[in-house]
Amino acid sequence: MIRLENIEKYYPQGLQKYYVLRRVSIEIKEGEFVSIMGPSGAGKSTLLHIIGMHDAGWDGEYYFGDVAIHKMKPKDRAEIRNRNIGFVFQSYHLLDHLTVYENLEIPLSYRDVKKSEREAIVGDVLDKFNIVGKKDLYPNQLSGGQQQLVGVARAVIANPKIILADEPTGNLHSSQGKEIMELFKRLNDEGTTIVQVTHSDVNAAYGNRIINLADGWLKD
Amino acid sequence: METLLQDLRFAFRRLIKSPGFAVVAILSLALGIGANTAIFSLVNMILFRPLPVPEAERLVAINASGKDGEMSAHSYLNYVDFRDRNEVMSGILAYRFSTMSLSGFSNSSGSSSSSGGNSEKVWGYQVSGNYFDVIGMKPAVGRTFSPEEDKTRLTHPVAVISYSLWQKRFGGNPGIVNNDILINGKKFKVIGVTPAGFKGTEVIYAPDVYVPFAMQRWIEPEFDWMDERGNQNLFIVGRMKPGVSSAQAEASLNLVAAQLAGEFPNENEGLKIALTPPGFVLPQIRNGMLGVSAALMGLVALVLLIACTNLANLLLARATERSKEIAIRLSIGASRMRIVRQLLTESVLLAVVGGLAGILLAGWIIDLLIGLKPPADIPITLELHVDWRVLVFSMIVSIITGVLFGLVPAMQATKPDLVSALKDVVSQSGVRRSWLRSSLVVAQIAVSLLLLVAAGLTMRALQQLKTMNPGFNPENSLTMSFDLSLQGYQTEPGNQLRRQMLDRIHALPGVQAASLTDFMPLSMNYNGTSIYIEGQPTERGVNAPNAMTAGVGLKYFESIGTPILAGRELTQLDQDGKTRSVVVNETFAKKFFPGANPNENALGKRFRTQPEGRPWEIAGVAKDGKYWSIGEDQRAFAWFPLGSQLAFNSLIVRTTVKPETVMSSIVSEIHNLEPNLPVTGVKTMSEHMNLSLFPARAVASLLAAFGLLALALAAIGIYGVMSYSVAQRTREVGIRMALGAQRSDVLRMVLRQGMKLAAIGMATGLAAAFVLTRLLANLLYGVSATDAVAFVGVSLLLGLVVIVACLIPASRAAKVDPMIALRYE
Repeated sequence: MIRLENIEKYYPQGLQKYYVLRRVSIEIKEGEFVSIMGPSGAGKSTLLHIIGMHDAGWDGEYYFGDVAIHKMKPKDRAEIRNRNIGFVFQSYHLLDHLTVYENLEIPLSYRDVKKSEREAIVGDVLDKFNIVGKKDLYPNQLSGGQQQLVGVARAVIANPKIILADEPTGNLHSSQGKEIMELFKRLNDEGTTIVQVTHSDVNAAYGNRIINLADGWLKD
Repeated sequence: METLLQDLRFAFRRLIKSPGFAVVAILSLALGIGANTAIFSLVNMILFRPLPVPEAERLVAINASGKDGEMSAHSYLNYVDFRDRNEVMSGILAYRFSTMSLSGFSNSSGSSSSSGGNSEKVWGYQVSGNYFDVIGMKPAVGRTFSPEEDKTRLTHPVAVISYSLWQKRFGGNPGIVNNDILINGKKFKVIGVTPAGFKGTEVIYAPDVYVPFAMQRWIEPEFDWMDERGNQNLFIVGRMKPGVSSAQAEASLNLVAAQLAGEFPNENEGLKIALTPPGFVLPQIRNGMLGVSAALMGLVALVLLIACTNLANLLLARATERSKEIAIRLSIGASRMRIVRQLLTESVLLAVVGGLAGILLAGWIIDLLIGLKPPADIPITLELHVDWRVLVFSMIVSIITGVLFGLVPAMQATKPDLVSALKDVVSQSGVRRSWLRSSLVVAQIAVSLLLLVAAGLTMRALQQLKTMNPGFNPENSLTMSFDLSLQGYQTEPGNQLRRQMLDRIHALPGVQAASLTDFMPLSMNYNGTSIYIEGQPTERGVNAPNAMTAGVGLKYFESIGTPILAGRELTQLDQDGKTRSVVVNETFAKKFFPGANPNENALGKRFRTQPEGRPWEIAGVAKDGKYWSIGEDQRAFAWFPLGSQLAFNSLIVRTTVKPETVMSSIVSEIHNLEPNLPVTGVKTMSEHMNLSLFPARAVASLLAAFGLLALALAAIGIYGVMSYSVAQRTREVGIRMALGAQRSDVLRMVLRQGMKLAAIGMATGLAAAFVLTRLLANLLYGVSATDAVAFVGVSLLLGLVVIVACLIPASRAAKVDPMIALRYE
């Protein structure tokens, strides 16, 4: 599903280059649940954002299915991203001034889904995630776990093929974290590919493969 | 549409959640758009709003012009010829401004009505009999003139009165129609009342009484101009036939003008016709007002620019605050255009709300503008209001403002470094925005300085004008006006009454000299005549050279305080018509008798005012002065004997005491002799000077208001940027203080940052002002466009305001607790 070949990312430092990723080549198959692990500064989040096509400044080759992402313009990459990828962030990143309902609705609105369809889809997701009672609340009226639940619901609402999660339980209590991980597991079982960045072995254990990074290099 | 509504909903919600931001942005825009709306209402009145009459687009002012292109009025005989010989107009009307003495009305049986009262001076028109028909006005009550009523002289004393006079003077009594009123002591039958708000053919003049030309000798008993083709004192307006263009009409009327020039070369040689929109007497008045309005429009556009800079700055600051939100939106699928649209919706919403508030504010500014009336007794009415054109203008300005000044912040905001924004890390785009914000403040200060310099210069010009020599001595003198001809006085009784008046006034303690004239200098009044110097070749008709004129009585020059430089004043023999002597001014002498000593050369020379008229001999040369406006270039002027002219008399009294102390005694003496004589315009000559200072004072007041507005907006702008910068630098300030910086160090650091921006802005503004203030040269009356006092004074003022605006955020920064600041995110 995703194939990266010799991905390199660096920041210029005077005349020199500071590398955050070096010759990273990986392949992620459809239906996998992959955990990217490594110490701080290893380049985990950078790799995730490259996969998520947020980061455009890198060298190497990136294939999403048969599509050569590295040859595409940013606008076309955004289209591929919107069609296929959902994001879950460590600090949830819900839009503070929108209600739960509106937070879920807005990705559909950005994809020009008709209002009646949006209502049906958001209704289904609220139901599926058991948050119907929270739909009119604002994010600051929710607990961290509930916010992340909405974050995951938002990530799946446009029916992506893959979910990228950057330390999704990093800001949560362990019980809340467990709940979120079980949700990911369920989604993965239903066929969604999941790639997460995590420091936690426990969380990594929910997945079926671990990619280790250190100082930007892939470790065996 | 649906997403637009969603954007609007979100935009509303965001504004409500950030009331501080919304209030500052809306207030800034309201001030800018309000000022623009108010000034545009003036432009609208002059340029766009047609006269409120049916099919106004077919009405044109028909102006006479000579080879110098200056437009002028027509004689009655020329008017009649244009009216009867043309083939392009369905009708041509003529009118003449007139003052009249009005006293109460009596019913048809002749008994006096209680609604009447003492006589009062009113302003009106003498009009051609077809005046209302050509305009297409239907009266509120009664009827308008029939053709017969303007056919034969002095046979149909009829009048149409204005709605406001009907209400004011006659309590709206419907019985006014077919009853008599006394105009200049003569009975006129009121035949109709104009509808409310009707003002005839002028935009800013509101006449109260209309009488047909056929009654001219009852309105101006002393003047007989209707049969003199050289006496050009009527304004004419035509209604073009349907399908005739203005160019066709002008060409056709010029054929008539050419015929008239051939038939009557003395009066009409060189006569040309130019058609312009009606409403402002002559096109030069409209053009003058338009010039001032255009300059004001330019200035308020600068105020709006400053306000918009505030908006852009606020939006940029907000974009930085919202970079994370925007990154989230992009990451969950929003396209950049979609977010730009959302942000633009917010800025346009702000601008529209600001525009609506501005329209409300404009109503108040318009009231202030209307209050800026010249201190003259002529009924000038500035009908400024917010009509649909003004509303459309304001809304277009608002929307353009919202789009234009929201676009750059929106474009900036939607290209965040996604990864950094999602990780809450300050990225390079934040630095870029900060640079942009600083540039905007620099621009804002530069534009404010430009406006303030303009205001400073006009105020200096006003000061200069107050010290300018008008050619007479306004100290210890007073003036008042009356018109014995309007009271029905004939020549001899009138002369006798005036002699008695002057004797009694001379006898009053504190009076040094008193005299009469038919022309008060600096009254925005123009009397002129053609000059044909004996023995010199000259041109005829509208091409003949001319001079302004006045009729003056004995002791005029002593009373007004104008020195005679050569020769003598006018004597009793001149006044009695036994000798035909005049006094001219220095410019007259220089213009017509150039040489080493023009004043002496002029003495004894003779000239005529008509090619075949009787000559006048120059008996004296008086010092130059100002006659029409205080800022004018020197004009040729000739003072003729007032003789027995009873109309338009102004009394000028020179006193040895404060003029206010003898004012009431003089009025009492006049009323002792003639209790019913309306005495108007009683004022000291210094007060009279206010009229000539009015244009300069109005411009200085407006510019000062705009300058202060700009200053306030710029202060808000720099305060906003510095506050934001201080908030952004809280952590840095904490670190500095933890490392040992004192509060004074922090204060200096912030002040330095603000003053650096101010210095760049002020340097730019001064350079721009140095170049652009030259455009104001003709409003500055001799003050240099680069006057150092104005430039330095304004720079100091702006510098002071900038320091105060920076001091508040600076002191806030200096109070930062390092422990809190270091935990600050």
